[in-house]
Amino acid sequence: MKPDTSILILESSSILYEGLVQLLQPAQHARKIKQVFSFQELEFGLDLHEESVVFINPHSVQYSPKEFQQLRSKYLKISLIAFCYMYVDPKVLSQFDAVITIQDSQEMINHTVSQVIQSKKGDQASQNLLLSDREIEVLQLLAQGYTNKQIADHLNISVHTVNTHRKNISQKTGIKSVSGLTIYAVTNNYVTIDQITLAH
Amino acid sequence: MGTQFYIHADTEVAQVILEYPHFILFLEHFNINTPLQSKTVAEICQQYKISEALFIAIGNLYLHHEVADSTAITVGDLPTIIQFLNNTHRYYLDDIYPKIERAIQEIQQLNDSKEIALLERFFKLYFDEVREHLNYELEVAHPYIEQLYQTASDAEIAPNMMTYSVSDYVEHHDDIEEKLDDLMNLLVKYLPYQKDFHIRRSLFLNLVELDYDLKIHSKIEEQILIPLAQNVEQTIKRKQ
Repeated sequence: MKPDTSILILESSSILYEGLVQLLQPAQHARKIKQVFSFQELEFGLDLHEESVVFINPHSVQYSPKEFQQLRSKYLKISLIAFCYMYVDPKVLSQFDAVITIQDSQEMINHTVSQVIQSKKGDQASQNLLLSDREIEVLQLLAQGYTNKQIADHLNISVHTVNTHRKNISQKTGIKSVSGLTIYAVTNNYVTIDQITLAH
Repeated sequence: MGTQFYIHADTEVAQVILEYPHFILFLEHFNINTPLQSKTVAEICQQYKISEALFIAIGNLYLHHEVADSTAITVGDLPTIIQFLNNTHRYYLDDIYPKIERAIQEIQQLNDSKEIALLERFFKLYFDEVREHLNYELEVAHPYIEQLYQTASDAEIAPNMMTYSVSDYVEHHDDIEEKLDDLMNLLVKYLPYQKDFHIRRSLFLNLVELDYDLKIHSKIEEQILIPLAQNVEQTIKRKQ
Protein backbone atom coordinates (compact mmCIF):
# COMPACT_ATOMS: atom_id res chain seq x y z
CA MET A 1 0.00 0.00 0.00
CA LYS A 2 1.24 3.47 -0.83
CA PRO A 3 2.38 5.41 2.24
CA ASP A 4 -0.01 8.28 1.54
CA THR A 5 -3.09 6.04 1.65
CA SER A 6 -5.44 6.81 4.47
CA ILE A 7 -8.16 5.08 6.43
CA LEU A 8 -11.38 6.98 6.95
CA ILE A 9 -13.93 5.82 9.50
CA LEU A 10 -17.50 7.08 9.24
CA GLU A 11 -18.64 6.36 12.79
CA SER A 12 -19.94 8.90 15.23
CA SER A 13 -19.36 6.85 18.37
CA SER A 14 -15.99 7.63 19.92
CA ILE A 15 -15.87 4.31 21.74
CA LEU A 16 -16.25 2.36 18.54
CA TYR A 17 -13.91 4.61 16.60
CA GLU A 18 -11.13 4.50 19.20
CA GLY A 19 -11.58 0.76 19.60
CA LEU A 20 -11.20 0.13 15.90
CA VAL A 21 -8.15 2.42 15.71
CA GLN A 22 -6.49 0.52 18.56
CA LEU A 23 -6.92 -2.73 16.66
CA LEU A 24 -5.80 -1.35 13.31
CA GLN A 25 -2.83 0.75 14.30
CA PRO A 26 -0.18 -1.92 14.91
CA ALA A 27 -0.71 -3.43 11.46
CA GLN A 28 0.38 -0.25 9.69
CA HIS A 29 -2.02 -0.46 6.77
CA ALA A 30 -1.93 3.26 6.35
CA ARG A 31 -0.18 6.34 7.54
CA LYS A 32 -3.26 8.19 8.52
CA ILE A 33 -6.51 7.21 10.24
CA LYS A 34 -9.27 9.75 10.53
CA GLN A 35 -12.75 9.82 12.00
CA VAL A 36 -15.49 11.49 9.93
CA PHE A 37 -19.07 12.19 10.91
CA SER A 38 -20.94 12.66 7.63
CA PHE A 39 -20.85 11.60 3.99
CA GLN A 40 -19.96 15.17 3.15
CA GLU A 41 -16.91 15.11 5.38
CA LEU A 42 -16.03 11.70 4.00
CA GLU A 43 -16.08 13.01 0.42
CA PHE A 44 -13.87 15.86 1.46
CA GLY A 45 -11.33 13.40 2.82
CA LEU A 46 -11.55 11.26 -0.32
CA ASP A 47 -10.92 14.25 -2.55
CA LEU A 48 -7.57 14.56 -0.81
CA HIS A 49 -6.70 10.85 -0.75
CA GLU A 50 -8.26 8.90 -3.53
CA GLU A 51 -6.96 5.47 -2.61
CA SER A 52 -8.50 5.22 0.81
CA VAL A 53 -9.92 2.42 2.86
CA VAL A 54 -13.28 3.52 4.24
CA PHE A 55 -15.10 1.97 7.17
CA ILE A 56 -18.80 2.72 7.27
CA ASN A 57 -21.48 1.73 9.70
CA PRO A 58 -23.93 0.10 7.24
CA HIS A 59 -26.89 1.57 9.10
CA SER A 60 -25.93 4.97 7.82
CA VAL A 61 -26.18 3.51 4.31
CA GLN A 62 -29.78 2.50 4.87
CA TYR A 63 -30.61 6.10 5.66
CA SER A 64 -28.48 7.67 2.94
CA PRO A 65 -28.55 5.23 0.00
CA LYS A 66 -28.06 8.01 -2.50
CA GLU A 67 -24.94 9.34 -0.86
CA PHE A 68 -23.57 5.83 -0.67
CA GLN A 69 -24.23 5.13 -4.34
CA GLN A 70 -22.58 8.37 -5.22
CA LEU A 71 -19.54 7.40 -3.19
CA ARG A 72 -19.28 4.15 -5.13
CA SER A 73 -19.56 5.77 -8.53
CA LYS A 74 -17.42 8.80 -7.79
CA TYR A 75 -14.45 7.20 -6.07
CA LEU A 76 -13.40 4.12 -7.98
CA LYS A 77 -10.21 3.50 -6.06
CA ILE A 78 -11.63 3.26 -2.57
CA SER A 79 -12.22 0.07 -0.62
CA LEU A 80 -15.42 0.04 1.40
CA ILE A 81 -15.63 -2.03 4.56
CA ALA A 82 -18.85 -2.40 6.51
CA PHE A 83 -18.36 -1.97 10.24
CA CYS A 84 -21.24 -3.85 11.85
CA TYR A 85 -22.41 -4.09 15.38
CA MET A 86 -25.93 -5.31 14.82
CA TYR A 87 -27.97 -7.14 12.22
CA VAL A 88 -27.83 -5.56 8.76
CA ASP A 89 -29.80 -6.45 5.63
CA PRO A 90 -27.54 -8.67 3.45
CA LYS A 91 -28.60 -6.59 0.43
CA VAL A 92 -26.89 -3.62 2.01
CA LEU A 93 -23.81 -5.61 2.97
CA SER A 94 -23.40 -6.96 -0.55
CA GLN A 95 -22.54 -3.46 -1.71
CA PHE A 96 -19.38 -3.43 0.38
CA ASP A 97 -16.00 -4.89 -0.51
CA ALA A 98 -15.73 -6.55 2.90
CA VAL A 99 -17.45 -6.79 6.26
CA ILE A 100 -16.09 -6.72 9.80
CA THR A 101 -18.13 -7.05 12.97
CA ILE A 102 -17.34 -6.09 16.56
CA GLN A 103 -17.03 -9.81 17.34
CA ASP A 104 -14.02 -10.16 15.02
CA SER A 105 -10.57 -10.65 16.52
CA GLN A 106 -7.77 -8.16 15.86
CA GLU A 107 -6.10 -10.71 13.59
CA MET A 108 -9.26 -11.21 11.57
CA ILE A 109 -9.87 -7.50 11.16
CA ASN A 110 -6.36 -6.81 9.93
CA HIS A 111 -6.48 -9.82 7.64
CA THR A 112 -9.72 -8.49 6.10
CA VAL A 113 -8.22 -5.06 5.59
CA SER A 114 -5.08 -6.44 3.91
CA GLN A 115 -7.19 -8.68 1.68
CA VAL A 116 -9.37 -5.81 0.56
CA ILE A 117 -6.37 -3.65 -0.26
CA GLN A 118 -4.72 -6.47 -2.21
CA SER A 119 -7.80 -7.34 -4.23
CA LYS A 120 -8.37 -3.69 -5.11
CA LYS A 121 -4.85 -3.58 -6.53
CA GLY A 122 -5.56 -6.79 -8.42
CA ASP A 123 -8.73 -5.33 -9.91
CA GLN A 124 -6.93 -2.32 -11.21
CA ALA A 125 -4.07 -4.39 -12.60
CA SER A 126 -6.32 -6.77 -14.52
CA GLN A 127 -8.29 -3.95 -16.06
CA ASN A 128 -5.16 -2.46 -17.48
CA LEU A 129 -3.85 -5.73 -18.84
CA LEU A 130 -4.25 -6.51 -22.49
CA LEU A 131 -5.59 -9.88 -23.46
CA SER A 132 -3.15 -12.78 -23.29
CA ASP A 133 -2.19 -14.62 -26.47
CA ARG A 134 -4.44 -17.52 -25.55
CA GLU A 135 -7.36 -15.21 -24.81
CA ILE A 136 -6.90 -13.56 -28.20
CA GLU A 137 -7.03 -16.98 -29.87
CA VAL A 138 -10.26 -17.80 -28.05
CA LEU A 139 -11.72 -14.41 -28.96
CA GLN A 140 -10.82 -14.86 -32.65
CA LEU A 141 -12.58 -18.21 -32.82
CA LEU A 142 -15.56 -16.89 -30.90
CA ALA A 143 -15.90 -14.02 -33.36
CA GLN A 144 -15.85 -16.51 -36.23
CA GLY A 145 -18.85 -18.30 -34.81
CA TYR A 146 -17.16 -21.27 -33.11
CA THR A 147 -19.01 -22.79 -30.15
CA ASN A 148 -17.23 -23.39 -26.85
CA LYS A 149 -16.91 -27.07 -27.70
CA GLN A 150 -15.43 -26.32 -31.12
CA ILE A 151 -12.97 -23.86 -29.60
CA ALA A 152 -11.93 -26.48 -27.05
CA ASP A 153 -11.33 -29.07 -29.79
CA HIS A 154 -9.52 -26.61 -32.00
CA LEU A 155 -7.12 -25.45 -29.29
CA ASN A 156 -6.85 -28.83 -27.61
CA ILE A 157 -8.08 -27.55 -24.26
CA SER A 158 -11.11 -28.43 -22.13
CA VAL A 159 -14.46 -26.65 -22.41
CA HIS A 160 -13.97 -25.62 -18.82
CA THR A 161 -10.75 -23.82 -19.76
CA VAL A 162 -12.51 -22.13 -22.67
CA ASN A 163 -15.12 -20.84 -20.22
CA THR A 164 -12.40 -19.53 -17.91
CA HIS A 165 -10.80 -17.68 -20.83
CA ARG A 166 -14.16 -16.24 -21.82
CA LYS A 167 -14.80 -15.06 -18.29
CA ASN A 168 -11.43 -13.32 -18.19
CA ILE A 169 -11.96 -11.75 -21.60
CA SER A 170 -15.30 -10.33 -20.47
CA GLN A 171 -13.80 -9.09 -17.24
CA LYS A 172 -10.98 -7.30 -19.04
CA THR A 173 -13.08 -5.81 -21.83
CA GLY A 174 -16.36 -5.20 -19.98
CA ILE A 175 -18.21 -6.98 -22.79
CA LYS A 176 -20.14 -10.20 -22.26
CA SER A 177 -22.18 -11.15 -25.32
CA VAL A 178 -20.55 -12.95 -28.24
CA SER A 179 -21.75 -10.36 -30.73
CA GLY A 180 -20.41 -7.54 -28.56
CA LEU A 181 -17.07 -9.32 -28.29
CA THR A 182 -17.05 -9.76 -32.06
CA ILE A 183 -17.23 -6.00 -32.53
CA TYR A 184 -14.45 -5.62 -29.98
CA ALA A 185 -12.35 -8.14 -31.94
CA VAL A 186 -12.86 -6.21 -35.18
CA THR A 187 -12.06 -2.89 -33.48
CA ASN A 188 -8.76 -4.33 -32.29
CA ASN A 189 -7.97 -6.02 -35.62
CA TYR A 190 -7.99 -9.50 -34.12
CA VAL A 191 -10.28 -10.57 -36.97
CA THR A 192 -11.24 -9.04 -40.29
CA ILE A 193 -14.78 -8.05 -41.04
CA ASP A 194 -15.34 -10.86 -43.55
CA GLN A 195 -14.24 -13.52 -41.08
CA ILE A 196 -17.02 -12.87 -38.63
CA THR A 197 -20.61 -13.86 -38.00
CA LEU A 198 -22.85 -11.62 -35.94
CA ALA A 199 -25.84 -13.86 -35.49
CA HIS A 200 -25.70 -14.51 -31.76
CA MET B 1 -35.92 16.67 0.00
CA GLY B 2 -33.41 16.82 2.87
CA THR B 3 -32.71 13.39 4.28
CA GLN B 4 -36.07 11.92 3.29
CA PHE B 5 -35.33 9.36 0.63
CA TYR B 6 -38.30 7.06 0.86
CA ILE B 7 -41.60 8.00 -0.67
CA HIS B 8 -44.51 8.14 1.74
CA ALA B 9 -48.22 8.81 1.37
CA ASP B 10 -47.66 12.49 2.19
CA THR B 11 -44.63 13.02 -0.07
CA GLU B 12 -45.09 15.76 -2.64
CA VAL B 13 -44.82 14.08 -6.04
CA ALA B 14 -43.46 17.06 -8.00
CA GLN B 15 -40.62 17.41 -5.49
CA VAL B 16 -39.60 13.82 -6.08
CA ILE B 17 -39.24 14.46 -9.82
CA LEU B 18 -37.15 17.54 -9.26
CA GLU B 19 -34.84 15.55 -7.01
CA TYR B 20 -34.85 12.33 -9.07
CA PRO B 21 -35.54 13.14 -12.74
CA HIS B 22 -35.89 9.47 -13.74
CA PHE B 23 -39.04 9.43 -11.65
CA ILE B 24 -40.90 11.23 -14.43
CA LEU B 25 -40.87 8.02 -16.43
CA PHE B 26 -42.48 6.21 -13.53
CA LEU B 27 -45.43 8.63 -13.62
CA GLU B 28 -45.68 8.19 -17.37
CA HIS B 29 -45.94 4.42 -16.93
CA PHE B 30 -48.87 5.04 -14.58
CA ASN B 31 -50.54 7.33 -17.15
CA ILE B 32 -50.29 10.26 -14.76
CA ASN B 33 -50.51 13.13 -17.18
CA THR B 34 -51.96 16.17 -15.47
CA PRO B 35 -50.03 18.99 -13.78
CA LEU B 36 -48.90 17.73 -10.39
CA GLN B 37 -49.17 21.07 -8.57
CA SER B 38 -48.35 20.32 -4.95
CA LYS B 39 -50.26 17.06 -4.77
CA THR B 40 -49.07 14.33 -2.47
CA VAL B 41 -48.71 10.66 -3.25
CA ALA B 42 -52.00 9.96 -1.49
CA GLU B 43 -53.83 12.58 -3.55
CA ILE B 44 -52.39 11.40 -6.85
CA CYS B 45 -53.21 7.80 -5.99
CA GLN B 46 -56.77 8.72 -5.21
CA GLN B 47 -57.13 10.77 -8.39
CA TYR B 48 -55.79 7.98 -10.60
CA LYS B 49 -57.21 5.08 -8.57
CA ILE B 50 -53.86 3.47 -7.86
CA SER B 51 -53.25 1.71 -4.57
CA GLU B 52 -50.84 3.66 -2.40
CA ALA B 53 -48.90 0.55 -1.45
CA LEU B 54 -48.22 -0.23 -5.10
CA PHE B 55 -47.31 3.35 -5.97
CA ILE B 56 -44.90 3.56 -3.06
CA ALA B 57 -43.34 0.13 -3.66
CA ILE B 58 -42.58 0.76 -7.33
CA GLY B 59 -41.81 4.43 -6.72
CA ASN B 60 -39.07 3.59 -4.24
CA LEU B 61 -37.52 1.23 -6.79
CA TYR B 62 -37.19 4.28 -9.03
CA LEU B 63 -35.31 6.07 -6.27
CA HIS B 64 -32.48 3.54 -6.31
CA HIS B 65 -33.89 1.21 -3.72
CA GLU B 66 -32.89 -2.35 -4.34
CA VAL B 67 -35.80 -4.20 -2.84
CA ALA B 68 -39.48 -3.37 -3.20
CA ASP B 69 -41.65 -3.44 -0.10
CA SER B 70 -44.37 -5.65 -1.53
CA THR B 71 -45.99 -6.61 1.77
CA ALA B 72 -49.08 -4.41 1.34
CA ILE B 73 -49.61 -5.17 -2.35
CA THR B 74 -52.67 -7.33 -2.98
CA VAL B 75 -54.16 -9.42 -5.77
CA GLY B 76 -56.45 -6.48 -6.52
CA ASP B 77 -53.38 -4.58 -7.73
CA LEU B 78 -52.64 -7.10 -10.48
CA PRO B 79 -54.50 -5.28 -13.29
CA THR B 80 -52.72 -2.01 -12.44
CA ILE B 81 -49.34 -3.75 -12.40
CA ILE B 82 -50.01 -5.31 -15.80
CA GLN B 83 -51.17 -1.96 -17.13
CA PHE B 84 -48.00 -0.35 -15.80
CA LEU B 85 -45.80 -2.98 -17.42
CA ASN B 86 -47.66 -2.76 -20.71
CA ASN B 87 -47.10 0.99 -20.71
CA THR B 88 -43.43 0.34 -20.04
CA HIS B 89 -43.35 -1.95 -23.06
CA ARG B 90 -44.93 0.71 -25.19
CA TYR B 91 -42.26 3.13 -24.06
CA TYR B 92 -39.56 0.65 -25.05
CA LEU B 93 -41.00 -0.35 -28.41
CA ASP B 94 -42.45 2.95 -29.62
CA ASP B 95 -40.22 5.50 -27.97
CA ILE B 96 -36.76 4.76 -26.63
CA TYR B 97 -35.62 1.89 -28.87
CA PRO B 98 -36.61 3.72 -32.08
CA LYS B 99 -34.77 6.79 -30.74
CA ILE B 100 -31.66 4.70 -30.21
CA GLU B 101 -32.05 3.18 -33.65
CA ARG B 102 -32.27 6.64 -35.23
CA ALA B 103 -29.25 7.87 -33.31
CA ILE B 104 -27.18 4.92 -34.53
CA GLN B 105 -28.27 5.63 -38.09
CA GLU B 106 -27.25 9.26 -37.69
CA ILE B 107 -23.90 8.18 -36.35
CA GLN B 108 -23.46 5.97 -39.36
CA GLN B 109 -23.89 8.96 -41.63
CA LEU B 110 -21.12 10.81 -39.80
CA ASN B 111 -18.84 7.87 -39.17
CA ASP B 112 -18.14 5.41 -41.95
CA SER B 113 -15.87 3.09 -39.98
CA LYS B 114 -16.49 -0.64 -40.20
CA GLU B 115 -17.04 -0.79 -36.45
CA ILE B 116 -20.04 1.50 -36.62
CA ALA B 117 -21.51 -0.56 -39.44
CA LEU B 118 -21.16 -3.58 -37.18
CA LEU B 119 -22.69 -1.70 -34.29
CA GLU B 120 -25.74 -1.03 -36.40
CA ARG B 121 -26.09 -4.73 -37.17
CA PHE B 122 -25.51 -5.60 -33.54
CA PHE B 123 -28.30 -3.27 -32.52
CA LYS B 124 -30.69 -4.60 -35.17
CA LEU B 125 -30.27 -8.17 -33.98
CA TYR B 126 -30.55 -7.04 -30.39
CA PHE B 127 -33.71 -5.04 -31.07
CA ASP B 128 -35.24 -8.11 -32.74
CA GLU B 129 -34.53 -10.09 -29.58
CA VAL B 130 -36.04 -7.39 -27.41
CA ARG B 131 -39.15 -7.22 -29.57
CA GLU B 132 -39.59 -10.96 -29.37
CA HIS B 133 -39.25 -10.91 -25.60
CA LEU B 134 -41.60 -7.98 -25.08
CA ASN B 135 -44.20 -9.36 -27.48
CA TYR B 136 -44.11 -12.65 -25.66
CA GLU B 137 -44.92 -10.88 -22.41
CA LEU B 138 -47.57 -8.75 -24.04
CA GLU B 139 -49.27 -11.59 -25.90
CA VAL B 140 -48.74 -14.63 -23.70
CA ALA B 141 -47.59 -13.95 -20.16
CA HIS B 142 -49.59 -10.85 -19.29
CA PRO B 143 -52.92 -12.07 -20.70
CA TYR B 144 -52.42 -15.28 -18.75
CA ILE B 145 -51.91 -13.36 -15.52
CA GLU B 146 -54.96 -11.21 -16.29
CA GLN B 147 -56.95 -14.37 -16.76
CA LEU B 148 -55.65 -15.67 -13.44
CA TYR B 149 -56.90 -12.50 -11.84
CA GLN B 150 -60.34 -12.85 -13.45
CA THR B 151 -60.61 -16.44 -12.31
CA ALA B 152 -59.60 -15.57 -8.76
CA SER B 153 -62.03 -12.69 -8.45
CA ASP B 154 -65.01 -14.31 -10.15
CA ALA B 155 -66.18 -17.65 -8.81
CA GLU B 156 -68.19 -18.43 -11.95
CA ILE B 157 -65.27 -18.63 -14.31
CA ALA B 158 -63.97 -22.18 -14.41
CA PRO B 159 -60.27 -22.46 -13.79
CA ASN B 160 -59.41 -24.28 -16.99
CA MET B 161 -56.38 -22.52 -18.36
CA MET B 162 -53.70 -24.46 -16.61
CA THR B 163 -51.75 -25.42 -19.69
CA TYR B 164 -49.58 -22.36 -19.09
CA SER B 165 -47.97 -21.47 -15.76
CA VAL B 166 -46.13 -18.60 -14.14
CA SER B 167 -43.05 -20.82 -13.96
CA ASP B 168 -42.95 -20.78 -17.79
CA TYR B 169 -42.82 -17.03 -17.52
CA VAL B 170 -39.93 -17.18 -15.08
CA GLU B 171 -38.01 -19.43 -17.47
CA HIS B 172 -38.68 -17.23 -20.45
CA HIS B 173 -37.75 -14.17 -18.48
CA ASP B 174 -34.32 -13.89 -20.02
CA ASP B 175 -31.92 -11.06 -19.71
CA ILE B 176 -31.97 -8.29 -22.28
CA GLU B 177 -29.81 -6.08 -20.13
CA GLU B 178 -26.51 -7.75 -20.95
CA LYS B 179 -26.33 -6.58 -24.55
CA LEU B 180 -27.36 -3.09 -23.57
CA ASP B 181 -24.42 -3.09 -21.20
CA ASP B 182 -22.17 -4.23 -24.02
CA LEU B 183 -23.47 -1.46 -26.24
CA MET B 184 -22.61 1.14 -23.62
CA ASN B 185 -19.17 -0.34 -23.06
CA LEU B 186 -18.38 -0.49 -26.78
CA LEU B 187 -19.51 3.08 -27.26
CA VAL B 188 -17.52 4.53 -24.40
CA LYS B 189 -14.40 2.40 -24.49
CA TYR B 190 -13.70 1.12 -27.96
CA LEU B 191 -15.50 2.49 -31.00
CA PRO B 192 -13.49 5.06 -32.98
CA TYR B 193 -14.78 8.61 -33.29
CA GLN B 194 -15.13 10.56 -36.50
CA LYS B 195 -17.57 13.45 -36.86
CA ASP B 196 -20.14 11.80 -34.61
CA PHE B 197 -19.02 13.25 -31.31
CA HIS B 198 -22.22 15.08 -30.31
CA ILE B 199 -24.73 12.57 -31.50
CA ARG B 200 -22.89 9.89 -29.55
CA ARG B 201 -23.55 11.79 -26.38
CA SER B 202 -27.28 11.83 -27.01
CA LEU B 203 -27.22 8.14 -27.96
CA PHE B 204 -25.38 7.36 -24.75
CA LEU B 205 -27.85 9.32 -22.62
CA ASN B 206 -30.73 7.47 -24.29
CA LEU B 207 -29.04 4.19 -23.41
CA VAL B 208 -28.65 5.34 -19.82
CA GLU B 209 -32.35 6.19 -19.62
CA LEU B 210 -33.30 2.82 -21.07
CA ASP B 211 -30.87 0.92 -18.88
CA TYR B 212 -32.29 2.59 -15.79
CA ASP B 213 -35.85 1.68 -16.68
CA LEU B 214 -35.07 -1.87 -17.79
CA LYS B 215 -33.38 -2.71 -14.50
CA ILE B 216 -36.42 -1.53 -12.55
CA HIS B 217 -38.72 -3.30 -14.97
CA SER B 218 -37.06 -6.63 -14.15
CA LYS B 219 -37.27 -5.90 -10.45
CA ILE B 220 -41.01 -5.22 -10.71
CA GLU B 221 -41.50 -8.50 -12.52
CA GLU B 222 -39.29 -10.52 -10.22
CA GLN B 223 -40.19 -8.99 -6.88
CA ILE B 224 -43.82 -7.98 -7.33
CA LEU B 225 -45.59 -9.49 -10.34
CA ILE B 226 -44.29 -13.06 -10.35
CA PRO B 227 -44.69 -13.77 -6.60
CA LEU B 228 -48.20 -12.30 -6.68
CA ALA B 229 -49.24 -14.28 -9.75
CA GLN B 230 -47.77 -17.44 -8.28
CA ASN B 231 -49.88 -16.94 -5.16
CA VAL B 232 -53.05 -16.60 -7.18
CA GLU B 233 -52.11 -19.62 -9.25
CA GLN B 234 -51.59 -21.71 -6.12
CA THR B 235 -54.94 -20.65 -4.70
CA ILE B 236 -56.78 -21.54 -7.90
CA LYS B 237 -55.02 -24.88 -8.19
CA ARG B 238 -56.06 -25.79 -4.66
CA LYS B 239 -59.68 -25.07 -5.57
CA GLN B 240 -59.61 -27.40 -8.56
